[in-house]
Amino acid sequence: MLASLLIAWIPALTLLLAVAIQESFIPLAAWSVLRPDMLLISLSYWRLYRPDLCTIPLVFAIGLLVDLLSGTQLGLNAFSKLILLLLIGRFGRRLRSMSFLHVLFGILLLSLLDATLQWMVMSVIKGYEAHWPMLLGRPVATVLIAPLWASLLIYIHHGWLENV
Amino acid sequence: MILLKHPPRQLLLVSLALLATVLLLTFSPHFPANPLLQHSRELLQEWAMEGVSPLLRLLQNPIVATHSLADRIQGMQHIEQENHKLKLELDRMHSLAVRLEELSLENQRLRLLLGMRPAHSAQELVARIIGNSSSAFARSFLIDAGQEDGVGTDTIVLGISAKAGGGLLGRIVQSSPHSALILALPDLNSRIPVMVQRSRVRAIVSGRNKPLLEMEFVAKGADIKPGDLVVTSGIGGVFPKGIPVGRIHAIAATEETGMFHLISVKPLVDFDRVEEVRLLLDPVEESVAPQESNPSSSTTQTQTQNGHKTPSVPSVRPRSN
Repeated sequence: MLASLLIAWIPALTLLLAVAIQESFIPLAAWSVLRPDMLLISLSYWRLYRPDLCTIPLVFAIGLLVDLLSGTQLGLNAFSKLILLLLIGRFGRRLRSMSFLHVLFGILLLSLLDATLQWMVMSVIKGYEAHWPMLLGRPVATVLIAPLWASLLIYIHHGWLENV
Repeated sequence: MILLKHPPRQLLLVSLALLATVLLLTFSPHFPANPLLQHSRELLQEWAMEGVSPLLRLLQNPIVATHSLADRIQGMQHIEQENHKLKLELDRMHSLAVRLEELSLENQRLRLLLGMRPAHSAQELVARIIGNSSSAFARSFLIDAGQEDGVGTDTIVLGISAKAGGGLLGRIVQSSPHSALILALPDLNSRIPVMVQRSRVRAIVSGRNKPLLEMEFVAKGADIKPGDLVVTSGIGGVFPKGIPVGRIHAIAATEETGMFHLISVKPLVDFDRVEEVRLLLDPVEESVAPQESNPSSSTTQTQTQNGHKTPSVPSVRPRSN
């Protein structure tokens, strides 16, 4: 009973790990531009395949954590991730029945939407000028790393959460 | 429409969460005006940093090991050439060091004669960057030193390595017991009072979330040239005077810029390559009279084999951990 309760927190832990990886420091110029959004891949995966373990308060909290860690506008990531979560909820069934390549394309669209949403909010609040390499670099890096990170999540899903 | 596809309980939760984020986005810029809200935000940020920094430290170890190995392999290819270059540099530095010491003593004597307040030298601390939260909307770093090492809000942060540059990097905006968040110069919220070292023209350097900084409020016709060194002016009290910030990159003056120049500044620090940082902790008052200075004061003097003294350098404080 206790074990299954603890196992149910595994998606939350993978989200935390994703945040730590994407917020970690690599002394390379490319890392600033081509930094993958691991959190978005993890959120998409768990929301698609185990929505019961990736709840709305969890998504809100993890989005807020990213905002607090990066010192950016409070609520920015929480807001954009909640909107993405709504979209995944709406089109999730269709995405689940598609091939992996289609899902990958879906992740690219979600990542672009995430960047666009954040840019729009920042433009309204702070009159932010878009830095296009950084805005577009992240979706590209996210799609490139998605197969690898998704494989790890699939492994965790089948290994630990099949019976939960 | 998308909301209506969800079950009622989910709908309520999503609506509440969205409402909370909209409220945060709208009102969080006004938090500093309310001490209670500001304190709550700082506390939350402190907890977040304390919670995630051990994981970041753990992830950082293999990255640092791999990077230093790559550096070592790369360095071995040019080691002989570099050794020769460094010896020549050392000879040049030695004569400069003696001259610097002489000038420093003379400066102290003249200050004494003029009755000026003694200069302040800061204690320094070296810390490692463990997190980089740079995105299209923020430019900040997380370091592995915090309140327990004497790091607090507004502590000044400098770059450290020759490779990544040694100028101003930013200042601490939030600290927890074992980590601290740096607001880097290119961040949109960064504003630094500066002056051009050569002509002493004062201005404000602000971040634009882009590699180059923008220099504001410089009237057309001011004496500024590309390549001029920009240093902190000391106005405002947060940044001490004379810390190098960057060099003038380009100057433009069009009708659109009104009565001011449009000036871009290239920071001295390479924000993508800096790995360690120097933190200027609370300034320590230097002894006024050179004769009265003792070896255990905040500035240290070291004796070389030839009996020469190297110039006074700020003391580096040991880390608590």
